[in-house]
Amino acid sequence: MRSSWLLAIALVVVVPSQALLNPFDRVVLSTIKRPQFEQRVKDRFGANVPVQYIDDLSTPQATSMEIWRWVDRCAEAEGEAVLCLPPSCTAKEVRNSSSTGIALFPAH
Amino acid sequence: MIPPGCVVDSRGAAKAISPLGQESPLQALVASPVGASQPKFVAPVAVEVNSEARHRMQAWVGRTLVGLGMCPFTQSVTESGHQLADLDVLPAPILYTESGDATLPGVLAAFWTSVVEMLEKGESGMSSIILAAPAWDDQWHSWHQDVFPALEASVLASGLGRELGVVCFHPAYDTPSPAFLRKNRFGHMHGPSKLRGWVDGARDRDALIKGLGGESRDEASETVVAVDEALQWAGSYQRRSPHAMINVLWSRQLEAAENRRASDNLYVRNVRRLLKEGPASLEVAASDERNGLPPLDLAFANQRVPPGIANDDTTVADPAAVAPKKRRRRRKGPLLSPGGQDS
Repeated sequence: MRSSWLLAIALVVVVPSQALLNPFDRVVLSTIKRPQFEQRVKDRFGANVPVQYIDDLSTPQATSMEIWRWVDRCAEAEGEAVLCLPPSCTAKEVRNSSSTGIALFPAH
Repeated sequence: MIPPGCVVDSRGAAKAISPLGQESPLQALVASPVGASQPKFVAPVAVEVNSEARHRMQAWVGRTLVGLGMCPFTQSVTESGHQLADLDVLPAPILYTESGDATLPGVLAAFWTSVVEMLEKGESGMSSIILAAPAWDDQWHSWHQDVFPALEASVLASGLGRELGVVCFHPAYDTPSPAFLRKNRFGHMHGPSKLRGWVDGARDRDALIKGLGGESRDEASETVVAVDEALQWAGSYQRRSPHAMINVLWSRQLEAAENRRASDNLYVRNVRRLLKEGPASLEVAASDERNGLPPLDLAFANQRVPPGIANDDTTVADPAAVAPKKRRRRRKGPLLSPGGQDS
């Protein structure tokens, strides 16, 4: 009786957390949403807007690096350029107090 | 004037960066041109970097951090993290790297590239990063007003604020005002009022004050001003590297170092050492490093020092010479000869 209770608790705790932590689930999630995302971008900015993706499994430091590389490369785009962030990344804007008012986009 | 919320790309055009919005099924950023015509601003000029930049940085590490003992935990040009073995910190290589980028996004991308390597190697594989950015050597204002606040926000946003410590160095480093430091403490030297408090607590306080251009027991306002100006110079000099530089350290090791030594002891000791060497000869040495001349050894021509300053030596700087001096204008000419980036 006691062991069956323990098994039930283990199933409740372990199974959902494995599902949440499994990186392949996140990849599948983004793959499903990607066509929808690309259509939305196309509708808003036109068919020729360059879209770049960051690896879904990127670490915070790798995401930050890719963001700044992308910003630096934006000079090559005549109009808008789009960078798709990993689902694990939370994009929010930070402005500093200096005169240039730099926009920064945090990762994770 | 760059519009608020914009960054300047490598062609000198301003780009507004904004989130795509919550209606998007995936999170994304959009870079949008600002204004009708591009480029709107003068493009920043990147420089090519080669081994000369690294040589200068290594010569500076050898002269100041190791030779003058400004960092007791750096006892070699190639490694740091010494004298902390009992705190589970072992010496590991310093990563010297360079970026010729003149744009903020470019230098931040270079910063994160080296940080990725540091985090992959771990504490045992890399003790710190010395990232030189020669394109910013004449841009002290932008270096501390734009680059370092952006670095701070970027590091904190990435959730690595407790992993990494970032320190600001520049050829024209001048400790920012207290008002600026209240908002942007990240990576900067303590102001003169903080240093003064530590000097006042030193066992050789009177001799130090005299060495700094003040009278030992005179609190007249002009004396206070003279001492504060001298401390402003002494603090700033500790952050003057041959090139604009981002120094990245492990936060855990910084905390271990803080536990090992009290900040007051370290900074007072450094002020004492700078007085002993003499500001004039120190400025000449720094100027020579910036101009690519062969690095001087530590046998500087010291000036006389008021007796009583703790430290075994009998020679100390002339108090009058301690007053801050205008930095010698760097000799114009090719800063870096053509060559590839050798980071």
